[in-house]
Amino acid sequence: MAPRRPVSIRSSASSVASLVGAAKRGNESAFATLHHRYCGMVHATLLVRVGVGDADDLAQDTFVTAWQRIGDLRDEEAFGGWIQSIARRKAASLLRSRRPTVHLPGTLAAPRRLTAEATEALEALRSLPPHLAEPLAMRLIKGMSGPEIAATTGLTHGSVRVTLHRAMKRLREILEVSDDRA
Amino acid sequence: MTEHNPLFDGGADPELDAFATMFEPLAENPELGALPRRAARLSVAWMAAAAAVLLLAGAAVVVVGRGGGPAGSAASGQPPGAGAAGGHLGGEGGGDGRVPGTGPGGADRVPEGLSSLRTGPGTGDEAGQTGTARSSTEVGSATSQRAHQLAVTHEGNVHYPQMSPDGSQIAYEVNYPAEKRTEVWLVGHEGGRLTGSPVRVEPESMNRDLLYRYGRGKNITHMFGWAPGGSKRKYAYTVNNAEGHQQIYIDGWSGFISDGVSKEPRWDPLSPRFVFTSNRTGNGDLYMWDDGAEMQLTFDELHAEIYPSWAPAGDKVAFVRAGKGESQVMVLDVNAYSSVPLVNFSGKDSTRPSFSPRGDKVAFLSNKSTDSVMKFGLWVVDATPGSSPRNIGPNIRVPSKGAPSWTPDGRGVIAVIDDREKRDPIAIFPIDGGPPRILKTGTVNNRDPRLVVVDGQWRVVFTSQGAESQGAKSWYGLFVYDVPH
Repeated sequence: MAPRRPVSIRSSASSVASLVGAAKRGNESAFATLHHRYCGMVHATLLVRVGVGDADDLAQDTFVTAWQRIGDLRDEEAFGGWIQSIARRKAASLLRSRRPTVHLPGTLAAPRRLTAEATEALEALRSLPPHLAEPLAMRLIKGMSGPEIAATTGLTHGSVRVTLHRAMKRLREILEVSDDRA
Repeated sequence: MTEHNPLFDGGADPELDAFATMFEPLAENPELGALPRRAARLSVAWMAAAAAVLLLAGAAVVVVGRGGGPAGSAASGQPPGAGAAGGHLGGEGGGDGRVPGTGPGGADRVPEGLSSLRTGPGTGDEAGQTGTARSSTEVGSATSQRAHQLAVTHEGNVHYPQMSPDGSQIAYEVNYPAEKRTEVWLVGHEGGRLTGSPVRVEPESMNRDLLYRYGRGKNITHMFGWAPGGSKRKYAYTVNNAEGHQQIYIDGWSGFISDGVSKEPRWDPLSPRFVFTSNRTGNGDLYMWDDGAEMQLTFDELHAEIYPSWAPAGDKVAFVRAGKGESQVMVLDVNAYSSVPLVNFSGKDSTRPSFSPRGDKVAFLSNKSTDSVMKFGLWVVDATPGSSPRNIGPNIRVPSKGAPSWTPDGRGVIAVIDDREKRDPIAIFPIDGGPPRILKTGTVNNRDPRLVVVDGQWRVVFTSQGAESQGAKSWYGLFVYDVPH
């Protein structure tokens, strides 16, 4: 079984609101904890939109922006949705700036070398609508469970369950078609 | 019953595992890079106002006495609490397996809302009551060459004496081994003599009946901390309740700090605020209490942050980050909210940090160079990350509470040598090396020494089982010793 990254979403852990509150007051340690909790979700959100190297860079940019603007976040419990929207905007901005360049699978960053099979699977993920691709990337790439995805994105358990089911079904279909062609 | 769904619930599944293997190079998250600096929002303007008030300013000393009973096990040196994280919060109270400490009927009860300080009976006229302070007979002289004892007697062991910033009072803990409970007492002091009778510190807002009920008969007050001189609040202390929680009560404040185990109030030496430890988020973290407002200072979910100790300028807090198998000394910048390791002895326990009077060094205890994990040496390190710690004393008795005490000139650290043959003498260890200076107190089984300055005189406040000739069958009492220099 493949190793899974630990995802720290514990009921006993510091509440998001208290972490955000402390981060607003300048507490870098609190913000580092927020990064630890939400980086998987943010990175997955970016991976289904841009190349791997760009996703790494934009993930960092996303958290730097969040750090600078966290004082503007009124609903401290909504940090997950807020930072995910920052990540989406970063990706969209990058893609706009690079038009009409076409993203090629071969541009995947060197430090994170993927097999041909993984590259194909990632491209298949990217071909899904973003609202399906994002949670499925969190599940398949980051190893997050449905409740962990719900906790970080602010979606309900039911919504995540249905979305994962639909997304997985679509992904299987795409990959099966691809296999047939091969 | 809902069928297990690996896609949503997680867990092993051949198809999902295949994807995980495929995507393994992407599983790792990017590190968080350096964050751009933002202005801290904590107001520190009032910190300067009390700049002239120094920690433990000129103090004199009193001694609390001995009875005839044997010393309890709790007095014979507590574990340092530097092991696994799970045991750090909640275990440190007045003793183990405490039993009801109810006094004889209602005479010992305090109506709700009465003063937070209970005056001790003074003459022991409440027959049978435990925890009473008897006479105030002075034994010896504050100017004698040996330690002297003032006999305010408790039927229990005295620990952890702390002088008030203005020197007018001493707070101390009394542990009653038979009843396995602990109380905090205050006694007035002036010129090396007692003034008035000792008074017991209890929550103002909690009926004594409730205290016993919540504490299942365990009257546990401990971990007292003096506020800086001139503060509206004079002190804070910890109270155990029935659920195993520990709460912090603050002098003159109607509320109290609850939520899990909250303890160890340590006041900023210059400002009316304190840091404390709490496990309210599942692990030990440091928090700040600032006139009713609480804020979390550390957010480490893998370790317990304990044993906070302020720098004299009120800008930093040294503390211990305790995890499984090791404990390290850290320093927190309370204005920048960032903490960095100061001592990192891998696989070893370093604990009880204490800033020097100038704030440029930190003394601490560590088992790095001892032959047992339960034995600790005395170390000093520059308060700058990356500095090399120096071992200045082997085999030190870990204080019952608190940390080693510095000499006022910052050139030495005072501690008890763990040496049964020599009956645990008190010594001053020069920080630049050299042999320790053994203090000829004439007492045995010494504990918890703290050095204060009284009219230019270095005076050590400590607890002991008494004179060398008397053996070690007495309660631990409170002693003072003037250091010739």
